[in-house]
Amino acid sequence: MNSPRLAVAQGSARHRALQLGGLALVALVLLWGAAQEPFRVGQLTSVLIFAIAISGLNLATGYTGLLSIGHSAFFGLGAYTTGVLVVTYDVEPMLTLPVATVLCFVLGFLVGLPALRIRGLYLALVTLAVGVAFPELVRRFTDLTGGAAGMVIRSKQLAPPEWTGLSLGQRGVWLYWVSAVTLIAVLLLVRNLTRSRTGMAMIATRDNEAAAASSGVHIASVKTIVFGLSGAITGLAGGLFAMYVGALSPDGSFTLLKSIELITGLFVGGAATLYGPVAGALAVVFIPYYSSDLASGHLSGIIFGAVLILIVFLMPEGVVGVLNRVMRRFVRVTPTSPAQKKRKTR
Amino acid sequence: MSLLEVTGLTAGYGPARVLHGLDLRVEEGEVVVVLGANGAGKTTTMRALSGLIPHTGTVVFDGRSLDGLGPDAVVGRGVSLVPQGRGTFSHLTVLDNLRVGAALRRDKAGIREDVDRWCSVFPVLAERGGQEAGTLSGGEQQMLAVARALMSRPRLLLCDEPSLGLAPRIVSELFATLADVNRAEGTALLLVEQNADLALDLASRVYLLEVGRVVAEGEAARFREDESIRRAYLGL
Repeated sequence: MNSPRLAVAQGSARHRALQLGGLALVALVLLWGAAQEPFRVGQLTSVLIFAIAISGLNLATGYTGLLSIGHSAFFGLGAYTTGVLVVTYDVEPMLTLPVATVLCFVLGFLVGLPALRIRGLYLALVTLAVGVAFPELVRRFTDLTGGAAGMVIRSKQLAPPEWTGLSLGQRGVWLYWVSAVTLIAVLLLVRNLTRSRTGMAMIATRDNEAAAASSGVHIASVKTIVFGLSGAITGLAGGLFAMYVGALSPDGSFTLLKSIELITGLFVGGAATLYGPVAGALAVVFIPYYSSDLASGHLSGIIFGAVLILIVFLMPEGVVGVLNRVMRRFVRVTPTSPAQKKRKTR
Repeated sequence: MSLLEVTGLTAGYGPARVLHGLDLRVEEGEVVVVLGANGAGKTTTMRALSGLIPHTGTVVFDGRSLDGLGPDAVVGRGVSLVPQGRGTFSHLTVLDNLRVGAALRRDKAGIREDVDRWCSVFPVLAERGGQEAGTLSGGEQQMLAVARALMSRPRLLLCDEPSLGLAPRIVSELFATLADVNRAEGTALLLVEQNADLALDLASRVYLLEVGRVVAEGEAARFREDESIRRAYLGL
C-alpha cells in the first residue's frame, strides 16, 4: 500500500485546521454564488435544491440499497404541500416546509412497507407505481391542487422577511440562502446518521441482508424508517422547489422524468457518498444547460446522454467516489480507535 | 435439559421441502457437527434454526421456544450464525463489521471491550481494522464473520461450512480458534461441514444428514475410527 503524502490524526490540531479551511472554502463559494447575476443565482439555487432531493434518495438507494423510481412523488408531495398551504391557506412559506417534511415521512414509511417482503427490481416496480400515480392524483383532486391547470404562488407571498433587508425583487437571493442552509443541515444529518449505529445497520442491510438480520439488525425498522427519512428529505426539497418555480403543474416537474433525473444525479455524483448528491446536482443542472449551448433540440439531449454514459463508464463509483479515492492517496485521516485512546491516557 | 433441543424440524423454500423431521440436540458447551453431502439440508437446517426461514416442528433453546421468532430475536436469545460464504459487510470497515455484530447490545463499554478482545484473538482483524471488509482475503473474511457472530455473546454459535473455499492451512487455523473459543468461553458450537476429518477432530458428537433426515448419530470418536461408517457415509 502506498503511503499518503499527508497523514492526519483525527481530532488533531492539523485535522481541525483542515476542516476549518474546508468550511471557509464552502462559505466563500456560497458568497461568490450569491453575488452572481439573478439568473445564475437561480440556477445555483436549483442545484442546491436538487442536492437536497438527491441526498434524500441517497439514504434509501445509496446507503440502504433500496432502489426507488418513485422519488418524484415525494418531491411533488412536498412541493404541493407548500403550494396548497401558501396559496389556499396563506401560510408563511417557511412554515410549510416542516409540514411537507412530515407528510413525506409518512408517505415514505408507507412505501417502505412493501420493502419488507419484496426487494430489488420488484420493489423498484412498487415505487414506480407511486411515481406514476402522483401526477394522476394531482389532476384528480382539482379543488385542492388546481388540477391539470396547475397553481401559482403569487410572488408577494414569497417576499424575504424584513430582517434580511432584502427587497421583493431580491427574493431569489433569499431562497438561495435558505436552500444553502437547508442543504448544509441535511448533509450534517446524513453524515451523522450514516456514521451512527443506524447507518451501519443500513449499509449492512444493503451489503448482506441475511447476515445483517442474523447479527440482530431489525431489517423491518431499518427499511421503513430509512424510506420515511429518505422521502422526508426529498419532500423538503420539493417544498423549496415550489417556492423556487412559483408555479406548480402535475406534468411539470413531478413525473417519472424527475425520478430518473434524481437517480442519474445520484449515480453520476456517487451513490453512498456524502457529497455525491452535490456533484450529481451540479451535473443534472449544468450538463444539459451547456449541451444545449453546443447544439439545439434533440442533439443537446443526445450530448447530455453521451456525457452521462461517459461519466458512468469512466467513474462507476461516481465523481465523488473517484475524488475520495484520489484524496486518500494524498491525505489520510487516521482514526483514533478506542483502544488507541486508552493507550494514550494510560 | 439440553441447551438446544430440536424435534421434528421441517423447513424448505416455498413448496419445496428440504428437511423432513429432523431431531437433534446440543448440550451446554458442547461441540456438535452435522455432516452431509451437497443437498442434504445442512444449510437449510442452519437457516431454520437462526430464524432466516420459517419452520415447523419445535426448537427449544435454554428451555424456551424459538418457534416463530425472526433472526434478530433469535440472536437476542443467544444463538448466533456464521453464514455460509462469510457474508461480511464488504463496504463497512472491519471494526464496524464487529460493531454491527453487537447490534442488539447497549453496553458501549462492553462492546468496546469485546472488539478489542476479538482483535487480539484474531490479530489480522486489528491489523486491518480501518479497512473495508471487502478488501480482505477469504480466510480473513471468515475470521471476521466468526468474530462478528461472537460479538453478540452467544451461548450457541452456528457455523455454516466455515471451511468452504479456504486453503487447508487457514482451515486448521480457524478450527483451532473455534476450539479455543469453545474452551475459553464455554460457547457451544453446532457446525455443518463437508470437511469431515477436521470437523470430527473438533466435535464430540456427530449427526449424519441425508436428504433432510438424520440417518446416523453418535460419538465423534466412533465416526473417526469405525471403518465401515467411514466408508458407508463419509466416503473416506
